[in-house]
Amino acid sequence: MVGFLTSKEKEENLRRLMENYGHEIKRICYVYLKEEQLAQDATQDTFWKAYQSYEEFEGRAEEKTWLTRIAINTCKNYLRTAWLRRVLPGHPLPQEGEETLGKRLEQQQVTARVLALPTKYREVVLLYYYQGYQTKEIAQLLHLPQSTISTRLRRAKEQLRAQLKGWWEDEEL
Amino acid sequence: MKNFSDQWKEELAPIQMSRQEQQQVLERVRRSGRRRRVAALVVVCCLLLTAVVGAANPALLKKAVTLAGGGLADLVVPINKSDEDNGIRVEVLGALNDDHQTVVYLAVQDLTSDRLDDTLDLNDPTIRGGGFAQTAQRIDYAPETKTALYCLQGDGENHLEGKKVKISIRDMYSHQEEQQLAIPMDLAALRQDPKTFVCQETGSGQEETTLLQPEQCHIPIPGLSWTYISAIGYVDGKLHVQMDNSTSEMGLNHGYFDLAKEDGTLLSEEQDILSNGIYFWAEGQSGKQYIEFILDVTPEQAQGLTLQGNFWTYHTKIEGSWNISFRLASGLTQKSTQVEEQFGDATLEKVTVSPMGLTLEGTGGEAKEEHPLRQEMEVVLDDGSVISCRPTIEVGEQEGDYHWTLRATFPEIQQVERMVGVRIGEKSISLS
Repeated sequence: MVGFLTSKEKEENLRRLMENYGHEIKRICYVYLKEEQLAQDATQDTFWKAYQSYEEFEGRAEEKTWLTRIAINTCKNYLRTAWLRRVLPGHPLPQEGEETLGKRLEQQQVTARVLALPTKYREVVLLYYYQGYQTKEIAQLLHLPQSTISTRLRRAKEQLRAQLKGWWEDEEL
Repeated sequence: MKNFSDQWKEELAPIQMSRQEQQQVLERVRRSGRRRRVAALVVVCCLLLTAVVGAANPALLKKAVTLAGGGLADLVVPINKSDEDNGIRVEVLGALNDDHQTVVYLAVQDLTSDRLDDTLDLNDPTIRGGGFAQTAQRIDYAPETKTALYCLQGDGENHLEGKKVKISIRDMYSHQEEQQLAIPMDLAALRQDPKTFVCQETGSGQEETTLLQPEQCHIPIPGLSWTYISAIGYVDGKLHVQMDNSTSEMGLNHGYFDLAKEDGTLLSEEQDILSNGIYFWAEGQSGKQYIEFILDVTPEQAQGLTLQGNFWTYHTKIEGSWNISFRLASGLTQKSTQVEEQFGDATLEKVTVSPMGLTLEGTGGEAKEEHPLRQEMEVVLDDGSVISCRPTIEVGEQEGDYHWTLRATFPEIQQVERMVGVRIGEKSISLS
């Protein structure tokens, strides 16, 4: 347990967490949710939850792993309610023909292929290749057997390899 | 050649959490801190003025279960665990579950003052681990004990039996006022070429919708201080009315617009003119949220009609953190059978019955469409009699195929041993 923190300390801590991990958490949320505005919402929710529960953070995992777990749970909750009627984006709005970040990313070779994978494959690819976790750590993060993670990773790699062959060093896939 | 990880990191590098986004989180923290401090002061002043409901309260549980109906009394497992914050005690009286549904009975009592009433709304209470589709129904309020009884329900989860769940409540609202307010303006003379934008709905639908650019006007609503009309005009022959949905600190305040005829009758009672409100957020510095209603009338049809707003305003907000964990252990008997039956483009793969209800699981179909299995069906008992039911709850995940769970709750508890089959339209499924 972290122990009791004053409001000011908690706020300073939140500021530090967002400074150190904000970009990475938002990228995790984007890969899960595939949508800029939702990724922004989920990122902010992740840090809000981290702020609320920091005193319960037991230090058994690294801060990054703890935040990653909160982000994954937040994104999964978003996905479960994905058909709820929500509308994006707001204002100011991209003009017709204007290229948004999301559109640019969808045209990128690797990102486009990864985003096309089903969520269960996408998340292991994200955690393994982008976050650099080992399969054992991913199993702990997702509360799944390590063998399941290995199988999903293998199947995801098979799909990606077929589509990306010749573009990047094969051993990385 | 770059390797996969490096190339991907380079591609994702433009996604960043901006200073402004960080600032918004800090603002949220500061707002919550201010309210908590004020609330704590009130608690100190009013301490010990009210009697406390005992921690173990079988009479209250019986009352809650009886009021909620369904003949559940014999099956509900007493829990009697509570949490207190900001002078409010939340107590889990009892719970009932099968593998797909959780029902929890709660008592909410004000220990210090009169902040609760019979309009109390718990804002988004969650049963963590107890199902995705969650509802909260207030079933009673007793002013003499300042206690409200609630029934929470979670659906769509699997393997609930034996699972640890956590009830979490962050805020609640009361002293609701309902108002019907006329907003004087010449509807026929409104702009037919307002500034608009095309946006895409999130989720599986991904439909495009044309909405009004926000803040084209600031029309106050007489008698209401927490919102205003931020844009209004005709788009494609329909009247769009947009209101600011972010200026109120009372997060549950809400409303919608209708049109009234000269004699006071509402046009929506005669014609299907109303739509659901469409929410969206402004980007940039304001970060405001708006809601837009589309009324199916042309300028000509709107001639002589009056815009009417129907609003619900809460005057009391209570913030805190109430968390209660317990294990679900009803031990109800269930029966399941694997099938492969086609209904439209959806495939039914599993049917489960418990004393509480019928659960159907499968794949296919589209999340946005009316599910082909949302129809009347019958559970057949061993003497040939039937229990009629219709799935009302749908939980799904769109991940390639749409994986769905449909749930129909029985009007009263049933004996699983007597259930022998399920009839859906022309098809009969045997429950082995």
